[in-house]
Amino acid sequence: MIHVYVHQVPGIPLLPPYAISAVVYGSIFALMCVSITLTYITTKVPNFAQGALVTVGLYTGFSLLSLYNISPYVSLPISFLLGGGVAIGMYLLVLRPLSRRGAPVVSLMIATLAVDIIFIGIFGIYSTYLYERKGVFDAELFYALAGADFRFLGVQGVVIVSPLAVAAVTLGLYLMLTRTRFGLAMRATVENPTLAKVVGVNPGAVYLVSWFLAGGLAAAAGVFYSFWEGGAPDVGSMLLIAMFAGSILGGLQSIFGAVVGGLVVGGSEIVVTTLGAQYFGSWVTPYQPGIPLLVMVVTLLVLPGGIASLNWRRLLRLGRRR
Amino acid sequence: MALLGIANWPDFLTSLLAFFSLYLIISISLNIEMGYAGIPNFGKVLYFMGGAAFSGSVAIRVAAWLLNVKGDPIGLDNFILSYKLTQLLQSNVPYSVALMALTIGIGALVGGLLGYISIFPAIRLREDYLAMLLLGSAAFFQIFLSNYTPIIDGPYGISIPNLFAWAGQYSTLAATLLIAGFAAVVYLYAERLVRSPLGRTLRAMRDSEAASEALGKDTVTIRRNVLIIASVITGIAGALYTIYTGDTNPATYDRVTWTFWPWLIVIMGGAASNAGVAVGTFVFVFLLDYIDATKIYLQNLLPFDVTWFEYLLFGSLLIVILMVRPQGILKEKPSATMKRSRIAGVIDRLKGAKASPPKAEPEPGPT
Repeated sequence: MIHVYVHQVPGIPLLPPYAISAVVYGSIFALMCVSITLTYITTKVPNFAQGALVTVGLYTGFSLLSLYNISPYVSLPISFLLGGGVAIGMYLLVLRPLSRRGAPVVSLMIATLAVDIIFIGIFGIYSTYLYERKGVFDAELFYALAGADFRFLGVQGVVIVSPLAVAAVTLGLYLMLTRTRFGLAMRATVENPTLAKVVGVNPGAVYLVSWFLAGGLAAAAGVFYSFWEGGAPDVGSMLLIAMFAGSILGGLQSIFGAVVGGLVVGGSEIVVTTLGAQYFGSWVTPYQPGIPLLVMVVTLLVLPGGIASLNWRRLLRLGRRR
Repeated sequence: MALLGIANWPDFLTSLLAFFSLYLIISISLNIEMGYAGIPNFGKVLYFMGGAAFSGSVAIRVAAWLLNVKGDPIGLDNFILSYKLTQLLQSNVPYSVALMALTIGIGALVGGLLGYISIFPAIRLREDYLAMLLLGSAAFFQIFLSNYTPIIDGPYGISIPNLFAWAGQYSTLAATLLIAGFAAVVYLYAERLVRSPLGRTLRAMRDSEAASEALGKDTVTIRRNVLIIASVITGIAGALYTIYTGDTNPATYDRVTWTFWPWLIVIMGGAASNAGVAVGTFVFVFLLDYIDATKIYLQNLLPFDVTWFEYLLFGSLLIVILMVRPQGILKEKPSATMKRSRIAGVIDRLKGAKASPPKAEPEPGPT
């Protein structure tokens, strides 16, 4: 089931209401796309189970809220750790053993699809448990947790928190990659693992940290998503295509490209759908999931290397010549 | 007394045969693409869905036109129309057979058309990009069918007339035998294909595209043809499924049932081995159908929905197979060659030909 809600956000002048919605949605997807890119640059396999990590965060926040009345913001560190832990589990139990056995990329991809299906089963069982044993009536399908969110000057909290989180993550990753020894080791491993080993880098540790961060960021994105859109056991799988579209737009190898890609994909989903519904009628709205697909197709046709492959200096020079 | 927990053995066996045949058709087509030609198609459900939905949509409209019955094939009238048509088709075998042929033809056509569209990414993109794109396209096509009502009434789906109504109480059995017949044809076709020169070219292309191109093989054309053949077969499977179930509903065309299960079957049975895929199909469908048939007992044992149990079981099964026996139950065999005696016969014939000296060709001089 695909649910599309148009949020009425009051009170910010000079901006159409859907602009806020686009920023929130874009920020959530930026986190997810960074997460996909972090796993892709290390293992070189698109992880089809990334959606499951989003759902881990989403259900952790939701369960702690509905069982113990803890705000998902307070439990965000727990969601982050759990998402990171599950991601490390995926890497250590499935992907690393398989790639050590020399499995081809296609086998690794189908293995991650299998992991995703296992997790749909696990979340299905868990939500049944929450509903039947714990009496959480909306565990199998819940709507936006707007009531559990705080308000700041009449604006829902996630509207402020999610863009800030994206900015913090981008800055943090930038500082880590350029200013620390570990970041240097990480970039070296991504470029050439064998050569990195020669100069004394431990690629195993780099991979573990990447996967942990990827899982944590996906889980955090899941928490923000639940504030804005709600959730269900298979919500992560549904968002998978949009996550891939954003990462491909970003170049699939570049963390900062992924931030931009996620903002563009998430933002354009909202803007295009809202404007389309205004001009052509409300029948446009259900086709919102087609926009990431379109972004993916256009990127692959026009700019297969993504934003990261753009040569900015040359573009600027072209602009000046005209 | 239910033997081994199964209340109705004839029904169980009929369903087993139907789903074995259906999954065999899809898995063999995936095996041709993935096992032999090396095109990882993560969008199998796309062709199946296209074949199933459009064939059903056309079948009920053409049936209404042929039998001159007024009524809207979409919406609340659909069920009444479909019921009336079934009543009329009960005594009209020629029309039933003609409609069946049309339904299957439409399935093949739509499957082939979607396959044709998939060529453009499939010959250009690396396998990981292709997988993401096909998975996404299939997901969007399902959303399209669930929202665009004129084809199969959006999320509600439509019911189509029973084209085997003339078989009376044996109509399910007759539909099952039809699918089984198609499965046999597809299996024999695939066996012939992989033993032909084209089959050997496919393996060469899969193992080294550069080498097969250097030997003068047009890999782009071959990939295109393989993708279209496999998509047509999958579209036919979709049409057969619509005929078998008598309705078409977008909610049933999910990526787990029609993309992931066929992949599991091919990997479990053995990629690039048709016999292995047949064994894999049997093992998988037997497990799935057995779980389905004993649901009443299982549901008491499990505190949750049996579907989740299937997801856990088959998802883990695939990972275990990839770790323990990645080549599958039956390994790929080397290309079939001629018998020794036949080779000797050919050599003799060539020697006989040599006895009468061929026309002397001028030596190519230095240029």
